[in-house]
Amino acid sequence: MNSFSLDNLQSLTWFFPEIAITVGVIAVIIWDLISAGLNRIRGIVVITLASLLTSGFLSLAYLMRQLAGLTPSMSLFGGLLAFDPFSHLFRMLFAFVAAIVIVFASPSSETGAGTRKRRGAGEFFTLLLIITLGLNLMVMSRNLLMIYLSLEVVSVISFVMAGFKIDNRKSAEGALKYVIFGGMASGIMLYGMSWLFGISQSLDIGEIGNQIAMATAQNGRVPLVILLGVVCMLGGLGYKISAAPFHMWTPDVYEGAPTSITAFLSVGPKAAGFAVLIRFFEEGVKATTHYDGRLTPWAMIAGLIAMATMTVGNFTALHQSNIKRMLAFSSIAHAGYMLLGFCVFDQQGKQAIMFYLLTYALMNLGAFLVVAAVAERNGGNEDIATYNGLGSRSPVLAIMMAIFLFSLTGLPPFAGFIGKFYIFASLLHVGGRWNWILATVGVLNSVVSLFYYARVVRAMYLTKPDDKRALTVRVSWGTTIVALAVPTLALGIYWAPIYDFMTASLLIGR
Amino acid sequence: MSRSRTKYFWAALVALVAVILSASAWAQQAMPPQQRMPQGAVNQPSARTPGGGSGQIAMRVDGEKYGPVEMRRDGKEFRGEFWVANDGTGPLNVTRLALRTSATDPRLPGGAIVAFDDGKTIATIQPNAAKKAIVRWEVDKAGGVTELYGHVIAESDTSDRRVAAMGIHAEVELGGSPWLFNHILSWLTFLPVLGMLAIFVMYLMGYKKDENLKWLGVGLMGVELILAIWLFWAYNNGIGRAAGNDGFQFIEHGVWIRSLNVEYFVGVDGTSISMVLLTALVSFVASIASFSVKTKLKGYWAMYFLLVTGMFGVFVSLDLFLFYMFWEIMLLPMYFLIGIWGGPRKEYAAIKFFLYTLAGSVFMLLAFIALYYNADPTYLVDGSPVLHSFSIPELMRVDFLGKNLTILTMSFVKVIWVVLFVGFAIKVPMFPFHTWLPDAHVEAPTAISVILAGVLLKMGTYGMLRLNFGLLPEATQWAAPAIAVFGVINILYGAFCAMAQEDLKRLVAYSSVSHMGYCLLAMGALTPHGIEAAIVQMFNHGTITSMLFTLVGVVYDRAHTREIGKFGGMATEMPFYTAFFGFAFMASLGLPGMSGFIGEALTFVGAFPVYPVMTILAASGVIFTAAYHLWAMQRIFLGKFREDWRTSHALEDTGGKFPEMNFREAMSLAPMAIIVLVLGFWPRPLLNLIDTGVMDLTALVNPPGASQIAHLGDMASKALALLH
Repeated sequence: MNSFSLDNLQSLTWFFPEIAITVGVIAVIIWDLISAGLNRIRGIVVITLASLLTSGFLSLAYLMRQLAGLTPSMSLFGGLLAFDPFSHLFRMLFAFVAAIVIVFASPSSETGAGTRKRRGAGEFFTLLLIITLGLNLMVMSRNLLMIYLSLEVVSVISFVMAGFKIDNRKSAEGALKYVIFGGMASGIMLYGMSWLFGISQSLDIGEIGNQIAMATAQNGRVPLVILLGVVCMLGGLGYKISAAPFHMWTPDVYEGAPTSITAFLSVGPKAAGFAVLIRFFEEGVKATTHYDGRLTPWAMIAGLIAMATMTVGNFTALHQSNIKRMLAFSSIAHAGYMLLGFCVFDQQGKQAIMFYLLTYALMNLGAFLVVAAVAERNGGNEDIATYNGLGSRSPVLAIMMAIFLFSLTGLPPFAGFIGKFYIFASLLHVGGRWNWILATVGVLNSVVSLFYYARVVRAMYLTKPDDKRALTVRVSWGTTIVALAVPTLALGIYWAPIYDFMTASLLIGR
Repeated sequence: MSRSRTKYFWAALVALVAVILSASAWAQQAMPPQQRMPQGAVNQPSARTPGGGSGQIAMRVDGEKYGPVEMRRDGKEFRGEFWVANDGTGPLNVTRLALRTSATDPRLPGGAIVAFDDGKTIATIQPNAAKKAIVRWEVDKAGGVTELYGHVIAESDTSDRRVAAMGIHAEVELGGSPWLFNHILSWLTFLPVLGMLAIFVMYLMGYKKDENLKWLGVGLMGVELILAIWLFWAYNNGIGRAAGNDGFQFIEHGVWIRSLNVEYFVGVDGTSISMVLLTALVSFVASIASFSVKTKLKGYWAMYFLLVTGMFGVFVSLDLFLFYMFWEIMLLPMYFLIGIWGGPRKEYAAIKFFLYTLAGSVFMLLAFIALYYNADPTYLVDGSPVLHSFSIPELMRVDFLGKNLTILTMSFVKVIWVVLFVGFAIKVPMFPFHTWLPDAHVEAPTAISVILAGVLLKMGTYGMLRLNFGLLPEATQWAAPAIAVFGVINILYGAFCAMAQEDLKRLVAYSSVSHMGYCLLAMGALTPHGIEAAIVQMFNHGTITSMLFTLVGVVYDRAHTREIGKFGGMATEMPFYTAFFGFAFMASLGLPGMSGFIGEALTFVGAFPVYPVMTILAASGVIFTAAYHLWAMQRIFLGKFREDWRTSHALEDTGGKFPEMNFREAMSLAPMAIIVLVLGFWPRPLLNLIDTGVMDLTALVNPPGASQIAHLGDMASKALALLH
């Protein structure tokens, strides 16, 4: 196996971010039982944030150690999990996203956190911590079984959280669809895994990679069985990143779920899905764009999925009148852009995806926060029409929303543009006919996306308000919105330190 | 958000910026140095020389991590020092220490020399030792150039023959205030952003007297204009590419994003200087015309300032990435300015403008990336070696044609050329991409129409000259006839459409389409005269059309309609206005003695030798141009005044009379009128300004070949002799 494969006991030393979260889970449950009143929710929020921040900073510490060359990349738990800069970076991202979602969710009645009447708020935060743990495990997995298990942890908890608005039919409908689609996708993935296991006699993706490389070299092309197995795997992972044609659950779930959960689902599991995709295709498939001068099926399939995802997402978003649904389709489209960076299977594509994920996390979380803030003051109405005249009702909020939306469109000087720039640059860097076609479809899609993002901007600034009263926002939300908008703008003007840092950290180590 | 809470946001914002900055600084520090290498940097360790250790060349500046060497003035000469070091384990023979310049490709102004401190250009350096090198520049020998950006290169005998470079920079302090005048282009570009920030601060402080913002606007634009006039005064129009610095002046050059090889690189040359002046002029005039905007003034001026920043940025940036940023940044304010302060169909017009321009520019982005990845290795301004560069002057040196690249089986240069051209043509706007223009113009408020027609359209033609002509001259030759054909179509189609318009503003909008056609035709000729005509026409159309839109705005403010058929006999009502209007229309139709004529005449002179038939067709367009101008004038100003105006709702306040133009309106017209008249009789100042740039550009796209010397060169020199 690996040169650095630690046994279970040794591995615990390098497993502290996850242990921190686990401790947090237990602490939240206990606190939930022993405290009462306002103190309960305060304590829970503090515990969750503390465990997430600990997890994030421990990951950062690991990353720094590895960058400084103090600790080599290795495998934990006998080869089940990877310990490499790549996973540290993602774990930091998850801790950040989950922390934002905590701030997001804590005052909201949707999650049961704001009210004391229905049920314990501890439930929500426990689930959020467990799902973060699942995400962490996902990005570290280098074993088919581990991939499956961590994916299921994330999925099962996502189902619960999607249906968290217990007395809301839409929420229930979304959750049910999610379960059915999720079950199907897991089944397909498991089937694909069984093929791969059957051929390679191993669950370790590095070993599978060697087998695939050998079989490919013998046949001169990728054998059909392997193709089938990998495509089935792609089905399961495609479901997680909501890539077409596995995206059908997305709009219903995003619309029905509490907004904070929607925001989380649109960023966290998607990023983890990309991490697994990247790791699996780099370690497990050893995919390249060209083999023997010809386009490989991987580049072909990934490209087709990317094009379909972008196009479906963007064109369907055009007709939406509910803003959460619209952002759901937009998140499908963004998965498509990121898949473009995935299509090239190289370091630069990986960097592009990682940077895109960061910018996407900032702007998407921000946009959903604004959605929640506006919906809260409109009796839960999430229609785009409720944004009419927001520019005069709440100027700062509207400016922030405009920043997020233009950034999602990919216009300079916002971070979204830089993300898109790197994606397209990675395609054109490799070049070739297929990548040019992909890039062309990609830029056309970004023009289309302007149209529906601009609809919200139009409602905010160009349409007269139906209700002239000023719209106020909770301080914690408003602060978070600004805190997300500032880097969205700043990273569009000077992104060098962050990008260089990511570039240095994106090593998948064996 | 309520105002009481804004202080939280303010605090959060400041705190966040601090956190980000410190975190990024920390992350940068925490990273081991080898991981900080720029992407694509040439960083292979030097190969071993026989006999044990090997030398590895490096150049350093005292106390600085990166170059360039800042040369200090010492009497008549500039002087800078740096170290050539040996980082390897064996001795290093530096075989040549020289300036990166040559007779065929003069990168540096004259008078610069470099040597080791012992006066030699070769040296042997022991491991871990360094030798001092001195670079000197005598400004008097530079032929009027007052700044120097370049590189010193050092070759060594290591087996990989790696050439190390160090950036050098010297600059004469200008106007006694180097913090201002040596950074004049940055000030021009970013001063409006400061205005925007000022407005934001005013908002946070709860400033309510919005009507005073117009003084901020006019004041800021006035400062911009003064700076631009200083630029005009200080610009040395004798400096071309041969004089070094690629013919650019007032350069500011620094590394912006090292990992992407993006630089902050601005400068002006003969192609852009007139456009920078035009931008300052038009934005000043339009700021006066903005007084008629009465609502949401904070937003209006913030967007106006951002727009001005974008415009200046496009004309001065010399880095493709920077160029693209500014090009796109302009879209946002334009969308809001049309969409919020526009006419009845403002939403449609705004989004149409946005989508059209974005559709063109995203493909442009792909073209830029493709150009970047196929560029040659070069050095950033600080001397770090890179595989590719976004720098326009560097890309101008790349022989894209010679690389025989293809995109989707088509020729690389042709595809890229077409993509860039279409992106710019949408902005021009060229038939068949022009349909956004009339809508945008009709719906935009007066001041924004002025800017739109006065400056934004010129960005299209400027982009063609700068990028299509500059980067892909061979493809330009291939496509030149097509440019000319589209130019003629624009001239005739625009004129015919204008003739059919009932709305005065639409008529002026279509006249812009027609007039930009002259630019295209002139450009397509590729003669010195043609290119000169294109730039002259760009400038003159900018001034004239600004007047026209302002005038339309004046009458619209009074009558609340622009329908030509509803007017008549206005000459008796508003004689002063009529005089201005007549003057502007005469200038627009190209009456000799006004600047409009110069551009058209030069166009015909430049295009006729190459495209006689098309030029004749285009010249016939002048007749139609005259026709719709005169016809519109006749219908509005001559004949009998319509008495129903006396009782009309629009004139209630003034007792049924059209009030004469007021002082402010006259002031927004007068500067342009004076320029139109002066340049009409004496175009020398403008021509002088652009001559050198035009010659350089012509030499690029139309190198004197065997057949061309007889044909074009001769005609051109004759024509130039006639005019000068």
